Amino acid sequence: MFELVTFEDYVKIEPVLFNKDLADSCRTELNRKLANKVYQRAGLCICMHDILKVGDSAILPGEGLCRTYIKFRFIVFRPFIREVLVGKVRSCSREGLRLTIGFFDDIFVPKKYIPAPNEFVQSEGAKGKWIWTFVDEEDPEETESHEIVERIELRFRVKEEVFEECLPQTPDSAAVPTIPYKIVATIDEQGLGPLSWWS
Amino acid sequence: MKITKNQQLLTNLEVLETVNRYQNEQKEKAKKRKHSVKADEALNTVTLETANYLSKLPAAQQTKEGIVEFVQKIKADPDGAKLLPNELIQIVNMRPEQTVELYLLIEDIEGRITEENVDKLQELVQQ
Repeated sequence: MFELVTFEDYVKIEPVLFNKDLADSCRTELNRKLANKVYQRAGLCICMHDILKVGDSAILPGEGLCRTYIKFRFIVFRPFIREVLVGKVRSCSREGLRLTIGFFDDIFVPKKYIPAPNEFVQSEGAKGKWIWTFVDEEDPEETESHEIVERIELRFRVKEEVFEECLPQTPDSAAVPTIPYKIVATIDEQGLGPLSWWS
Repeated sequence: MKITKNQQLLTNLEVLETVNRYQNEQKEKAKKRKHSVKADEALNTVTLETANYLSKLPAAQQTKEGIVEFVQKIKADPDGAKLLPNELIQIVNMRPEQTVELYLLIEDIEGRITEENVDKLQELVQQ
């Protein structure tokens, strides 16, 4: 679920912080820069793990800031393809499900990855639920209906990950914000889906 | 900024320990400060949510020694040694209680491990 990614960067430290320990200042600055942000092709950055190398510090002409070369490792959330995770349903819609794991919300299960035969039932307001009809092979008359509603915990497998470059947003309020890191998941396998189906 | 190395897998327990450490540090600092620093908000949010999520998983009850012991036992077992590192880490993270979960985590399990060995792996995991 989580990976350690090694980064290299130059950290700017303001003169007011020169009396503090260099490693601590770098740690704070890098956490502020990266925590809870998606780094393209790496994943969602959580927090710094450790510093591998502190290089030379330089003060460039015209500035009072000190630039230090740092090589460090960051804990990054990036489930690999085919990994199985547990999450909650955030919302159901006609296109499929949207799942959440607390710190990461952009997990989508499109309609084709929900076990068939299924149907979407719209209830009051914008909410709805997905119903899967289980047909017993030996006895086609026996059918069981299982539903998937909001806040149900379920197991899903990661099918693909989509990284998209996010440009700075214009003040145009009609524009839909692009999702920088999206996971497409499936629940159409033995053992996947709501935990209550398999306990 | 650039990435020099990628792809080092971490167990949930290691992440949980780091994230809890950050949370404790924040609490210590918050006691001294009267107002919160806006720049640290992102770090606080993500570490809090991650800690909440991980504390509900089996990782909250695991210990480092327990995991090391489990991995050694699995590698000593001839069938366990066939597991890929991805699969091993998933088993450590998810601690499957039912056989069907084990079938999910290990790819092509029938081709590689016989049925009784699957049950044996299952028992190893339970301990």
